Amino acid sequence: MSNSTKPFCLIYLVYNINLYGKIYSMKAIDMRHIYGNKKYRGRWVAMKSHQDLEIVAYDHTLKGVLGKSAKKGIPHPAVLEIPDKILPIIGGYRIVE
Amino acid sequence: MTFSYQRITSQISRPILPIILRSNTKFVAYWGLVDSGSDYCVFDQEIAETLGVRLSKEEKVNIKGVSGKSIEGKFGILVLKIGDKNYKVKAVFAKIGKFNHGILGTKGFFDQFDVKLSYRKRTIEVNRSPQVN
Repeated sequence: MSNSTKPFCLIYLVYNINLYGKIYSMKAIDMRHIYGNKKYRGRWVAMKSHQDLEIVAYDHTLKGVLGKSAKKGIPHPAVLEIPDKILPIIGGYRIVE
Repeated sequence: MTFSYQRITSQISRPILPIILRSNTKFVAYWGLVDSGSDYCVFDQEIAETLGVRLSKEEKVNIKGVSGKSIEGKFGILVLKIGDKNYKVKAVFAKIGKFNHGILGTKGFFDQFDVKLSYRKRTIEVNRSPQVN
């Protein structure tokens, strides 16, 4: 780290951690590269882990994506199904008679 | 435990938690949307098939989304892991694929944890709460 960037890092830390050591704010996990990629739309994607979001496989089914991922040496990836269209969610599902 | 929001698009960030869903022999690392508007936890039916979760044949529910389209859901029991806490959950499994992540609702999530959301800080604070009936 260069001397010129040190003050900015310190300011960032002070801003994010209060005196009691609690986290004041966090950066949202950026999933835009996954949701925004057209080849993943409507498919299950497998990421290396919850922490490492590198895509290792994608497929139309969960079984398929887990199989592909296992072949690449990641038997327990973090999985997610990407919708065809990314639309805002307003309300949820409800159980009907 | 403090988790951060997920940024889905430049306009949309959601409170989505990393979760592990487990049966007796298998587990899947998945994601769940914190949704206080849902009475139950809801997961994709493919998860149940992959984990070998036995779905109730008697206890079926029809779930309706805002679109008005109805889908069939079945209850099943699995182990949910959030942070370092493992516990059994009776959840609804349905073909919610296009919803893209699980839903963490009242029974199975809010009855286990005290939850504090801050969109401004992009934080989700999840703390164990005593079991309430």
